[in-house]
Amino acid sequence: MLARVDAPTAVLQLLRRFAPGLPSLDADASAADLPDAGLTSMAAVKLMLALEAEFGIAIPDDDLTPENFATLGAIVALVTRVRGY
Amino acid sequence: MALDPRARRFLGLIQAASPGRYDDEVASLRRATAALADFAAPPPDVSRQDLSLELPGRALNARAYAPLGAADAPLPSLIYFHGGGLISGGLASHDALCAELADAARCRIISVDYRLGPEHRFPAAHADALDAVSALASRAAEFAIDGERLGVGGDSAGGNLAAYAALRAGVKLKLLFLLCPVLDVLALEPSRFELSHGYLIEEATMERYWAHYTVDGLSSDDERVAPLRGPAFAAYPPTRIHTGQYDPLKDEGAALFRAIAEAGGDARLAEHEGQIHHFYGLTGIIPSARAALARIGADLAQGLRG
Repeated sequence: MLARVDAPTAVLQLLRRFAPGLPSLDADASAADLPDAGLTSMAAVKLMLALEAEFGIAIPDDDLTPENFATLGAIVALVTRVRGY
Repeated sequence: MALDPRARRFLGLIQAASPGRYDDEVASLRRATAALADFAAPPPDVSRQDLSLELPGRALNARAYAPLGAADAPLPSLIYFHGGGLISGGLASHDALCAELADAARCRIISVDYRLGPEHRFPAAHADALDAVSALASRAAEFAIDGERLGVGGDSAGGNLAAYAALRAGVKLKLLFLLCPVLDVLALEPSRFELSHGYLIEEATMERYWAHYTVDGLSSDDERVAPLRGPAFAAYPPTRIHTGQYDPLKDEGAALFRAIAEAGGDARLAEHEGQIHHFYGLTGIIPSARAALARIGADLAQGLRG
């Protein structure tokens, strides 16, 4: 069920799928800068589309900022805020 | 008409994804072009055949597409050059688009894997385009090309190559078919300035493409790389140009249309409302681009047969 998806784990799995070139990324690395670590802009776009599908959310336009996608922790915070829990 | 809402959202995602850092690694530009292929809708089933095209002193890979069941018959054909700034892209990045065009227009598409900068700078890509058109036209029967209904086409920087080859190959062509073509190297027409940032193809990226392809002494106004700066507009074959309303390159497409028409030539222009650069390759995420691509396919069919 979508409602039971654990945000940090699911985001990490999506990151690994869309950016397999990232260095060994784990949940502890929530503050690592993703573009610096090799997340390309097109991979990030695919990640955003997949986040919306995975969590059943629509990220508001105002939240489409580089800061919200800069780190694993920022993405998890965004997902948590948009879906409300 | 406003920017298509799905296109607007895609551009918003790209802006959010971009860290805003200036990265001029060729590898990252190539990854970006390659990644665009994932945004195309799954193409129809067509026949694909990989070829080695022998040219003077070299051989190029190419891929021939044909509608299912028609692969062996002589067909109206379009020799195709992919976009990617002459430093990126290839057969794979434009595979879905070529399959869509072959199916929609019931024609053969021969996509040519020309050499790229910076490993192969000017005039490598242009020479490859010219020689490929000459070779395929002279060996039409071997490639099941209907030589009376042969066209040359391309998108973005591939359109630049197509225009170059169409003028110089010494081959009677039925059609020059251009999708969002690059016809000036650097910004000269208004839309290149007005839409220079945030519309998929950044002017800063155009400058990086040029830096990786040019050679010392080659001016960005040289008509070999900037067809709009050339004098020979009456010499173009019948030309059909498709642009997008929010494509930074739309004004150069329109300028070529006007120049050919004013020179007494046969040119047509379609500016697709609400669409962005490369919309025909983004059909998986911009539903209205699918309808636009269908119109492009119908226009190609008519251009090759009309």
